[in-house]
Amino acid sequence: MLSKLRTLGLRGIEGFGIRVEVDIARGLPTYSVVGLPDTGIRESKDRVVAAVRNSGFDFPVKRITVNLAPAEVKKTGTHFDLPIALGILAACGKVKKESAGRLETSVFIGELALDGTLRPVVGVLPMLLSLRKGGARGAVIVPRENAAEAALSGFECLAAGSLMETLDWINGAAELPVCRPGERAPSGAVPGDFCEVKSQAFAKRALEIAAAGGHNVIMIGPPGTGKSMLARRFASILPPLTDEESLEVTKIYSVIGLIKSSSLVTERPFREPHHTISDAALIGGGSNPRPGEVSLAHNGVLFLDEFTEFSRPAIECLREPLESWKVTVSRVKETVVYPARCLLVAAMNPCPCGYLGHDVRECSCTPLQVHKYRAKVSGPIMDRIDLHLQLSPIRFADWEARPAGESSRTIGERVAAAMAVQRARFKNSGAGANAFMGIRELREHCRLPAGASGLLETAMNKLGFSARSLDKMLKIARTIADLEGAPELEKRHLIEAMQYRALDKAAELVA
Amino acid sequence: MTANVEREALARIRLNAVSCMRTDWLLRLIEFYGGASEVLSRSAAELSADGGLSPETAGNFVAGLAAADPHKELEAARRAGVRVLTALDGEFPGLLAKIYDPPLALYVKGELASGRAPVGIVGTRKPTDYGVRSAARLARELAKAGLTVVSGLARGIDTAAHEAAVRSGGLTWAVMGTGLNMVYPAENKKLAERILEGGGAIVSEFPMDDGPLPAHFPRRNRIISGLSYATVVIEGDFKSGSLITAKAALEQGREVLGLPGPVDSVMSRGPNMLIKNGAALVENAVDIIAALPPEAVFGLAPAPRRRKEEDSSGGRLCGLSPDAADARAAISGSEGGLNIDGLVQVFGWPVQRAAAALFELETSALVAQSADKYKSTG
Repeated sequence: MLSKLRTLGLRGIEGFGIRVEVDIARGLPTYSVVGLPDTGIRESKDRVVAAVRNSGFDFPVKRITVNLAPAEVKKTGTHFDLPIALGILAACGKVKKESAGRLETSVFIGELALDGTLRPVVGVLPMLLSLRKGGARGAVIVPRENAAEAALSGFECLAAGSLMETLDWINGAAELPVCRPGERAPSGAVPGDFCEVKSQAFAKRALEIAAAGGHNVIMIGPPGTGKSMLARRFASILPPLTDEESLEVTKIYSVIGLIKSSSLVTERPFREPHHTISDAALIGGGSNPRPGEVSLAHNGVLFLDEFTEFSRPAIECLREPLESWKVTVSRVKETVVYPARCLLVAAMNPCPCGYLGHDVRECSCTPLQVHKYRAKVSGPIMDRIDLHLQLSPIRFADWEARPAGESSRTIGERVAAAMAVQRARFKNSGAGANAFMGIRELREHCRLPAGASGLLETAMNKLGFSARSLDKMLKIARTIADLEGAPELEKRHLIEAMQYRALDKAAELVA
Repeated sequence: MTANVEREALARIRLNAVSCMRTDWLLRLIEFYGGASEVLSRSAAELSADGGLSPETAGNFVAGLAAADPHKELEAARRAGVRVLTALDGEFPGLLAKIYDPPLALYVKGELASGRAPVGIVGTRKPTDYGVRSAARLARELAKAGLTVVSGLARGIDTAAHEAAVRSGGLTWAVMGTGLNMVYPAENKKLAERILEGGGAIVSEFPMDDGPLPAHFPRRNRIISGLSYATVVIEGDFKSGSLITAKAALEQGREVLGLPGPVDSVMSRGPNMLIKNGAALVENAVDIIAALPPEAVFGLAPAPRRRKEEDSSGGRLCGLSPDAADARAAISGSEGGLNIDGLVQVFGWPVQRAAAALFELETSALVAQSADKYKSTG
């Protein structure tokens, strides 16, 4: 006997349709799964056998062949348990003839426990969203614990608790409840506010510009200058996720099973991986590719503290995502693309001991050590970082003072307004934000104000800025103008922008 | 050069290669036997009898001489574009020849015969901002006045002095504590090249491949002072290389000057003590020139004129906007400089306004950014 069912697979964060075919024939008892299954799927054999027995059926002692089509695509995941078990039961006649249509048109997803109950699986949301393209006809059955997540897809899905329940539903003996979206849980963590950061007006201003224009930032300063504090509050001045962004982020989180309270991710992701992270964990990869931290920070902030302590390969890996907002993981058998549109906030000490330029503490590093330390961050990466920010230790007077300054909400409103200006400006081009302007857009939207060429010439000749840093400066100046609501660039915007390119200045003689 | 002189020069280079650490003793031997080649022809027993060496030391010395290869040394020097001078060469610096223990051989890259009187500027490797600023200013003024700045290419004050002299188009000589095949510290490699491009020189008494041994540096210091008419001590603690140089200068009968500093600054304890003991107090290049002997000052060649905007600071100040003038006052009045936040706090300006003032000051070269702070350059 032969039976056919539908289920779904995952490639990266995109789902695709899979057909499960089960054939039971006479012959020596064997059980084989073909169609490029990974180890997880092969193991499903034992779960399926136990679950079928413990649901009160005899497991057929025959020659069983399970095929996962299309056979040339590598498949991974534990959610094939349910369709395989149902296929076996159907192939030995446990599904009524008149229910065969229901069996073939529905989509089944679920992992089986040995007693036949259904366990939750990862990636339900992206898998279901792929049905949008395919045009689903039948019902979709998911494990009960994935019900809330499945409801986010907008499809009418049914939640099943066990193999038996599902079989009864197919045979028309019982109904299954429709999935309902979960309560939108209020976020547990109260994000910090910018007004809690004492002094550091310059840094706050720089982060406002970074947020508004999508510019990556590097903060350089001795320990205790508030680098981490500022970075952790950075997301608080970004506007809330749009529905579309929220869905994208949730898809990624679904793939690695990180969805909290089964609702959409509504806060901007803030990822802060430790500097011992491997390059694969940072950008994604593995033999069964998984999204890395850059993708988990998609539409949010990736904060890399102690930037120079990250391994060189890990830092170099950031080039692609910072340039193209995606990570392509290529394996012999498949190529997976993860979105990775994140804002990089890097932080580092000015020198290995951390106290170069400190008012009181003495730096114990030699110039050569400092040079080597800084050289760990390669030119190509620095090219992708627009704003350089040098922080100074907080003085006692500031520490003592009551925190004052603008709240994140006030800053966030300006940021949102500037972003709206940019969206309008780039609606016909791919840039999306000032930071991503190409040469043509730069020429079009950053026309030099009258008299500014002399200014830039002075900057180049006296301060040692390169042509490349002038281009970066124009982008920053554009964002500054957008924050002001100014349609044209003005000199003062350029002058302020230069303050954020400190590392481009000609190397001063270091004492 | 006659064959005899050439042989004598080779003998000196050979002696220097074996034992340049004991120049005074070698010079005595040369005088005693009437020539370096004579010294080479003596056996260990003779040297030990006449020179007062233990038989063992004398044996080692003779063995070392036999192993040394001055031709190889000369070849290495030639390949690196280095000339090896001995006291027999006309080019050997006259001032250096006059000291008690001039080096038997001087490795020179670049040009020593400029006719511009040399003045030494020395100081600590860990200077304060004040020290760096002052060393740079004095070096600049000296270079502009047509003098040569002599220093040791070490970190800190030495670097600042060389750098300023090179930048203002003047001459400067670097006396190294290593052989000329390497630059120590390595980060000054570029600076060394620029010194040569500017018409200056790099010199050392150590064989081409010698590394930076600790014992080299005190000996190097006597050459800095020996090459110079006067030595200016910028900063340094009591027991510092700068004071060794000052002591050497005094022994050589050269003028020693000190830059006064705050009495609570450790790095100014050395020069302050020198001033207390009678060294001339330096405020600017005029104080240094006043201390030079007449033959050094006579015929001072004017240095090439520098670009207009780098003229005296009085001229630069006129065009400043009120904001920039305020910011400048605040920065020069602060200890260790100010950053943008500092200005924001002092004046209550928004970041943009402070940025504009700083840009103006920075492009007129009145302040410079160093790490996170802006510091006054004048």
